[in-house]
Amino acid sequence: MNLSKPLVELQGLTKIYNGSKLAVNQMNLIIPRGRIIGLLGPNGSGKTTMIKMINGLLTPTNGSVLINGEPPGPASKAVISYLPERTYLPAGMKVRDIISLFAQFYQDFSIERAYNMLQMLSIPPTAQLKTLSKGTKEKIQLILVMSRQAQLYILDEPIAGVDPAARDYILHTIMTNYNHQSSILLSTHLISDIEGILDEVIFIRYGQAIMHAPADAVRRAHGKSVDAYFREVFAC
Amino acid sequence: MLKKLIKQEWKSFFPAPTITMIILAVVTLIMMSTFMTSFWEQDSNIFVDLFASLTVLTYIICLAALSLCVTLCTVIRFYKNFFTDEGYLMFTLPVKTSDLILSKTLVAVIWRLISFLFIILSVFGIASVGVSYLSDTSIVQFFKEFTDMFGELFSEMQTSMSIPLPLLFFWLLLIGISTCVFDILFFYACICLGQLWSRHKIGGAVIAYFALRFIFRFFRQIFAIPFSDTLYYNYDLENISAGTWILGMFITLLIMCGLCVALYCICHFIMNRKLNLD
Repeated sequence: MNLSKPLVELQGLTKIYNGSKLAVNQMNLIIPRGRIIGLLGPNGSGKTTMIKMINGLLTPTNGSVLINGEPPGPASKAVISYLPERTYLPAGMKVRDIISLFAQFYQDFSIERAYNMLQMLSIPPTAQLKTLSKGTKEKIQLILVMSRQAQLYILDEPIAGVDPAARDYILHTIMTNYNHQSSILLSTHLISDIEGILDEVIFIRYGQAIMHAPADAVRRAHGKSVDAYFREVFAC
Repeated sequence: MLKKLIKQEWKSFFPAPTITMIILAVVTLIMMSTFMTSFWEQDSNIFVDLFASLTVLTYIICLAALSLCVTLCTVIRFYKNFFTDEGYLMFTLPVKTSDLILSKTLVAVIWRLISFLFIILSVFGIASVGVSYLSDTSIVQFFKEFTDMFGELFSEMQTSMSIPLPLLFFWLLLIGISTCVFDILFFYACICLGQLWSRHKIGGAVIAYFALRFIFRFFRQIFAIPFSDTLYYNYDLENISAGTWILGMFITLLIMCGLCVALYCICHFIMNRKLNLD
């Protein structure tokens, strides 16, 4: 682990879809270690595109992504635990199979922790993934992500589309399972639910980071919650 | 990591071809049993004719289904694993892109070889029982005649080509395996090329398939003409030395390997440098 380098550094990162649609525009950003950072922006602001480029799932049109000083590759994937905004689990697998797959490939994966969380949520390990509801699959993906001792957890819209009780459980799971020397990059537009846990916030608009500041500093400077300030900044 | 990926791929790949192989084995045994009983000696009636026609038809369908099943599994698994939502899992694993491609290719090659051997065994099984039934000889005698016939054929080949048989088989095996790898990488490269389209990526893969096929056929024809001319006009097959045969097979193998490397590089470049998962 190269601690002298920033955990994640984006340099002039740009993504243009289909030759014309600018999704991320010259983004420069540093994600430090040991912080919980909210990546906040309205729909279509470029949050998911940026996250996908950090994970090597999209190729930048311009600029670079560096994780511990290296471009995305096997080394960066070994230290990033990523929860995408969609379910990616192969339908033909059983819950225990996907846990075993994660345990085989990620050295920082804890099988005990995964099974404990499954038990708490009453998800049978023998269940076939195709028989489970979308919400249960999302919970399994969260379990997989939070059972790792990663350096960076990237959670893309982890609480969107779930009921309030599930939201509480998800936030509780994130807070009780993450490694405190790690960082969490939490993308959402449902700020009120997560505001309490954020150390820093990044506001994104039109593919650019328009603000990156500690959450407390935002509240002090503007005399209101981050959620209220967000509504003011992004008012339609 | 390559070992783990191969293990994982093997586990996911095997169910469909295995089921098809079991069905083929059952149909083969039914076909063989009709030759071992007095089934074909019965008077012709609608049930016997229907059963015979259906069995033969099912057998032919099963033969085609096995090779089709392996090809479909190869293509669908590559596309689904890498370029649908499952790509979010595969491309976030801490493994090299080369390992991802190699694991899929190796498992697909092994299954192609297994299905090929299985089909040969099945056809040979039915042929041995069928021929011994029709010619009224025992299966043991059929095997003896069969091995004698091939023995003669091989010794003639050895005499005319002046190459020791094990060496000839070794070269043919290498060329066969490289052709198999080429076929699989060809599909993979087409799927990857389809990903360069911003929309209709499957359509793009189909266009890439026909475009690449055309290009390869075109160049194959161009390169084949001087070789075939040389063979037709300047040589008598029996006068070609062992060295010339080996050189010919070596060049063929070299071209196949070169094409495999080119197709692999296309896949690797697109998956590494041009990946854009929806």
